[in-house]
Amino acid sequence: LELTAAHVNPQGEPSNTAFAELAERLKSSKTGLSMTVFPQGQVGDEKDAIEQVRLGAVTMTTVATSNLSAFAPSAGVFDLPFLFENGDVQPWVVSDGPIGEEIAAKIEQESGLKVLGWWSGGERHAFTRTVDVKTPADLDGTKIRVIGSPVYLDTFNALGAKATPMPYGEVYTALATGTIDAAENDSSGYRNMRFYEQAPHLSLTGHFFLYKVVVANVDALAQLTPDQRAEFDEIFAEVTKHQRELFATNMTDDLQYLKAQGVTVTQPDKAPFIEATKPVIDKYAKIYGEDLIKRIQASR
Amino acid sequence: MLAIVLLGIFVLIALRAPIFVALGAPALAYLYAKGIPFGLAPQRITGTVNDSILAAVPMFLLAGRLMNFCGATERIFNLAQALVGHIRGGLGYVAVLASMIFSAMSGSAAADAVGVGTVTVKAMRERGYDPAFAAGVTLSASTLAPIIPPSIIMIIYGATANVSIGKLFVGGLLPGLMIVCFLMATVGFLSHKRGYPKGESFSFARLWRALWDASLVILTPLFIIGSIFSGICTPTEAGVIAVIYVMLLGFFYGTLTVRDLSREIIGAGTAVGALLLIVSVSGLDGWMFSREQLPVLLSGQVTSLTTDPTLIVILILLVVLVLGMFMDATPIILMVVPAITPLLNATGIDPIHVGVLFCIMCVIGLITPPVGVALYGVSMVSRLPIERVFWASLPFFLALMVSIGVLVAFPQIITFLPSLMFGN
Amino acid sequence: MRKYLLSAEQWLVRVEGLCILLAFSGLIGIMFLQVLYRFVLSDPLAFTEEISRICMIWLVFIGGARALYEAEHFIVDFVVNAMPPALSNSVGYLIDAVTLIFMSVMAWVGFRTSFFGASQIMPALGISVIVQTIAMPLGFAMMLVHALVFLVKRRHIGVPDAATIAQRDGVVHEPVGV
Ligand code: NA
Ligand code: NA
Repeated sequence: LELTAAHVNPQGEPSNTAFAELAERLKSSKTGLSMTVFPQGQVGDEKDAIEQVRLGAVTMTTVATSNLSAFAPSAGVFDLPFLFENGDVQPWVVSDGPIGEEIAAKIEQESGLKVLGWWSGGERHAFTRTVDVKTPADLDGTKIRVIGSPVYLDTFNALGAKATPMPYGEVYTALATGTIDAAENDSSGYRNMRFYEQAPHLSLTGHFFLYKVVVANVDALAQLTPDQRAEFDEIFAEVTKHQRELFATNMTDDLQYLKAQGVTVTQPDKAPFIEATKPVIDKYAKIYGEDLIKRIQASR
Repeated sequence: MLAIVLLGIFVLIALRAPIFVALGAPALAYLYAKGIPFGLAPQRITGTVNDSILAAVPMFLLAGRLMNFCGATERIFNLAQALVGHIRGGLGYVAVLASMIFSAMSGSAAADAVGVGTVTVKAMRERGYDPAFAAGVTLSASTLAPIIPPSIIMIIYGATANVSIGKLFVGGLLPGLMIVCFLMATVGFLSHKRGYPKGESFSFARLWRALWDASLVILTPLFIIGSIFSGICTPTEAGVIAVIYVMLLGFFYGTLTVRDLSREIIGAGTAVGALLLIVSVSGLDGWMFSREQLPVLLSGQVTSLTTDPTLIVILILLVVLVLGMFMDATPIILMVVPAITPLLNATGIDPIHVGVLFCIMCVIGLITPPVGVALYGVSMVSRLPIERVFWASLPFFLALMVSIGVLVAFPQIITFLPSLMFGN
Repeated sequence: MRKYLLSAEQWLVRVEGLCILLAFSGLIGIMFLQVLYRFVLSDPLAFTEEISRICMIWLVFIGGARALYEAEHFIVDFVVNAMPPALSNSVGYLIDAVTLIFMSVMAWVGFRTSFFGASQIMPALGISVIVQTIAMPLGFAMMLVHALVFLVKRRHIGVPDAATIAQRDGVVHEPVGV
């Protein structure tokens, strides 16, 4: 039986490595399963990949919750700013516990997609052309590129910036010419897309934590025999563990590399940022439920 | 299976099927044979053009048509005529120069082909040039758009190969200017051989008058370049600035009415449909090629043949040339680059050198049949069959190949400016 | 039947013209507003990118339908032109059949996929993505009507007739592409 996986991540990115590893492990396993991977957006962007998984043209993909929420609104709860106290322990306590199961069930109900697991997309940070962002005041009036998702826009507008949606492919040039002053991404995207060449002031705001949810087509999974499924799940769990570890170590490597490239890395005090984005949490608490957000924040 | 599908595409094209049908029907047969849900077809066909960066194409297409309609083209070419018309084949040079200026405003060869093509082909036709020659010059010069920065292709390459996009941009500058010289030399050679017309002899009074008449028109590229480099808008949005400026110009000259405008918009929209429907359906073929790992197989073949760095570069470029006949630049980059990057790193070839060459070769794919968005664009605006446009562009195609040869032999032309500006 | 089909086509052509006009003007307007609000007013709009993508899709597929009516789609005809008339005519019908099947499948599958994916929301606008995806099957359905009219007029689908070509070559001063 042949499985297929699609993703948008470039070589060296943990999700890319993880899918390559999954394919390799399945090949040498006793399951008789094989997997072809379409890396780097060969079959389209994340939303295209989700559509193709829903249609059954591709078996699985890994996507950011911000894209998944267009298909499964419940996934959007994880896009709230400063939801987690840290990016290395708390997200996994949440996703691997009852809350993760609850949201996964809602995702399946809303979009028909089966959640296989929660991978890491790391924390997202802001970077600018000229200013070291130490407090929200440093973002005042700054045109910052964000993806066109309401919670992203609200977050940066709440911080006093001018949130500007723009296609990803134009961000580099727009930073170079000054069409925008800043953008936000994880350290790996910042490094891989070479944004640091045009915006060499990185501030570790960690405003969002990004899950990369691995979702699969239900019918395709149903074709696996119980034995195949059990072994697949076992291999997948190990790959998931490795993916999360890779993201943590990559972040350290990225920062080292970026500093060597002349990037100034600022570690701001998060408290004023958290304070400024409280209204955003309150606004979305009405949609996702105050109780759920409290439970996420209380997970340790 | 893949061979049958490719054969099917070729046969259907040869038997006069509309190109988008020829690309789409065999792909549907492939989906059926492989048991892949048909729903993939609309997903890919719509998804491929669901990109606001592509909006530059309709904008520059409409701007070009409006410049024609409201007489702005006449003014540009009167100026060009006054400037270099006394040289044999003068408007051929002007077509290349116009593309060069346009290149500094656009990152897309398709937009250049339709924008400049609309203007130049008509003017050259009226002045007694062979329309196929006009189309050939314009087509080959449209390759400058993604070579001279800004360049959408280079952004994608840089992101995929993890190479500095800024360096790629700067690296494209000298090769772009060199290609301008090569194309102009070809224009000169052909004009003398074929005895293309000379205009009236040079006169300062006439030049002054032409300059005055064209003054508002030649501000267009300044507006566009200015609005991009001052950070007012992105290269895509600059197309809108062009459209609105030319619209106002038409109302100012009194040559454009609202009725004309709506007719021009519908006409341009029809052209957009014919042009981008091919891009859109080719997205389905791209999916199929990735599914069959076609580019990976091909580049695997290359790397098993030799270990000499220069030969490897040449072989990779040949693969890109072949793929470029059938595919758009973006899918080629997305599929081939990851496969060759480890090899390139191992052989120690300069990544900027290979990157710029790779991008130039991808761009050449946009003008080669059977699938080439710039080729179709020029064919459309020149009202000539695509095979005639391609044959007419053959001498220029050879000039482009010679340029690539020079760039392979002398990497400094590419690497000098980037290392000067960014250091190593 | 023939009369009915021809008048239906004329009606359709007007609808297409209107769709193209709206989509294209919308694209120009919304991208202009995008620049205006971001640069001049320094107050970037959130929804312009999504609207411009909706306009793009409508423009491509309805424009594609109109292009079939105008016989403006790209074809390579030198091989068929070199054939003896009897052969080229049979080949023409073969290609007509392929074209009709392709367009029918695309329209049918397109509608189904569009409704299947209707639960997807465009985040900034908060509306179903169907307002965008439906343009593709609509475009192919319109093409199907034009294709049938080609056959009713005893012409091969998408091949311009002598009158169309003469008009294009003769009128140099007319803006191209109309
Ligand atoms: Na350019
Ligand atoms: Na080509």
